[in-house]
Amino acid sequence: MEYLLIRKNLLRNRKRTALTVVGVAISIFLFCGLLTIITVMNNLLKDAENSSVLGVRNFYSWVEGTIPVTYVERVKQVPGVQTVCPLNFLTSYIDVGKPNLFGLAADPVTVREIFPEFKEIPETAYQDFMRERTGALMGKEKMETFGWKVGDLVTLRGASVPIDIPIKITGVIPYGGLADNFVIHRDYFEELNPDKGNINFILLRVGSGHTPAEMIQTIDQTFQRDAIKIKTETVKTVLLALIGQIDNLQILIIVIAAIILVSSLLLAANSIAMSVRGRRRELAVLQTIGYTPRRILILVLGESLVTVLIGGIIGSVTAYVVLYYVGLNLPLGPQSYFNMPWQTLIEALLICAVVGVLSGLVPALGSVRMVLADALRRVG
Amino acid sequence: MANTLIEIRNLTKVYDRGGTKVTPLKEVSLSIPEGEFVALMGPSGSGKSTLLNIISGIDTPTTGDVLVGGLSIPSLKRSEAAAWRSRNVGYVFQSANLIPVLTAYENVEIALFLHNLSRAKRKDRALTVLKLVGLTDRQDHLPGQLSGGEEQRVAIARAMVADPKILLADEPTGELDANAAKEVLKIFGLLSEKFGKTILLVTHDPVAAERAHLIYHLEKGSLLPAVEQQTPAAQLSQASD
Repeated sequence: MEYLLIRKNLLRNRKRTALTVVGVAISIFLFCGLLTIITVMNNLLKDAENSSVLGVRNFYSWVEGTIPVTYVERVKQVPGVQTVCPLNFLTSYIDVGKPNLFGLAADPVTVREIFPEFKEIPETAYQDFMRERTGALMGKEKMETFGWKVGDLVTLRGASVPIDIPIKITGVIPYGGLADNFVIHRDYFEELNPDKGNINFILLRVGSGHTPAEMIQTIDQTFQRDAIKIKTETVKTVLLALIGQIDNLQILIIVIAAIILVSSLLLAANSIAMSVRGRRRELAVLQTIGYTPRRILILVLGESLVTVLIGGIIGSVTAYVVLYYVGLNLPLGPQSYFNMPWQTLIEALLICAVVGVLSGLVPALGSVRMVLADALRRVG
Repeated sequence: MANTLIEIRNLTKVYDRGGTKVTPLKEVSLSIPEGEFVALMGPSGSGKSTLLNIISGIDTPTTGDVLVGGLSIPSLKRSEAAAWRSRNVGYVFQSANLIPVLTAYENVEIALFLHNLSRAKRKDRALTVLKLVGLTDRQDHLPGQLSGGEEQRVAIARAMVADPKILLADEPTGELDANAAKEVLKIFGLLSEKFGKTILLVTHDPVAAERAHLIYHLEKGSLLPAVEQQTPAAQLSQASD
């Protein structure tokens, strides 16, 4: 019934309608993108929280500070510690002007038990890595950046440590925190490193029957009287240190998303108001021939609702597709982390419906409250 | 004598225009029998359009009442008045006021959306009235593709398509040339004579008013006594005698 008028009115000024739809679509695209970023963050944190992996580091700095390698055995002896993986961080480069590479020198056997994504590296590749003294697992991102393939021989030039490290790429890290980095044997690194006997980090897995909190306390107490102090943390704490105050970041993202929504509302409201203002006479004529205020409300609100919903559907579907493909190429976590949750899709469309109604409300109410005699008199 | 369809009782309208009181209608009383064709004449600002607006319920009187078929129109709520108009009143404006993005047919059909009719019935009725106003071949044209006279005939079709008892026309020939005005007036004559519609025609034009059975004059808001005219049929019959 009102469909004919809504459709014809939307097509009346195609450019204005198209610009409004595109504006709303961009807003909803950004909104969905931002909400998905929050979801990705929460997924990563949830994984970290559920993880039974703890990190032991120098009390004062987890990047620059070191701890003696002798601590590894002592940590291993703490009841409840299941697996221990000593690590050294190293920053290196291939050639001047090319991107740096950040990597870990780790124990090849235990590192696999710490990082779940390593289980997705084919067994043969992992066996090659363990067998080969110079073997390296290279992150997917870096493989693509440098155009490397498995079997390539590469020399890493140390930036943090002044040594050259010839390596052979034996496998690819598919995703996760190390997909932009690399892992080599710690024993091999130790041979080349002039600063022997020191490590940056010990990662450990807590055995069943023990809680991370309890283990943190026990390990910290074990090293209480040592000269080089240590600090034991959950991986979540490390993640927080990496991404800063994630809660504040989430609030910031939500505020930005809200601002985008308000802009979208104002954009749509302005467009609808302009459209309705130009049709004041027609709306008065419709009421004169018998259109009730309810029908006029449906007409104007329907128009704004359809405009915003079309924009919302385009924006959210585009966001879904784009995020899916971004997820395929971003190595932060499993692909599913980047899939826009269907809840976000529904939220976006519900918000569009609310924005659509709100943006049309003022012009719609103005239309049903106008003095018909005045609106008709103006036109002669 | 036909029953009174529209009864206007002591109607006064006072506007406040920027602090100045304007009184376009003063104590106007008028009875219009069913099927009557009444012309309302008067200079600009004499209150003709205001009277029409109050009868149709799109404006309200300051005092007095308008009864249509016994129903007090000013006491209706806005939505009730709209629903009542959709069933009982056809309104023709000085400008055709068609919706520019709708074809002639669609402009007529929109008045039928208010009634619970099937698509086929809507089509049938819209085409019937378009035929009546002589625009069957122009049904798919947009208002911009029609002449002023054709647009006004579409507006009449829109006013009549729901088959209302009353047709209110506010200077319907005011923007038309002589030929187009003649065509439009012919349709009003037909609606009165053949279909028995009660027509209230506001006009400046004495030629347009000649079609009516009764002519009233409004001057400074007051109604002067009616001038009765013979119907065209009676005029023809007299001429043949």
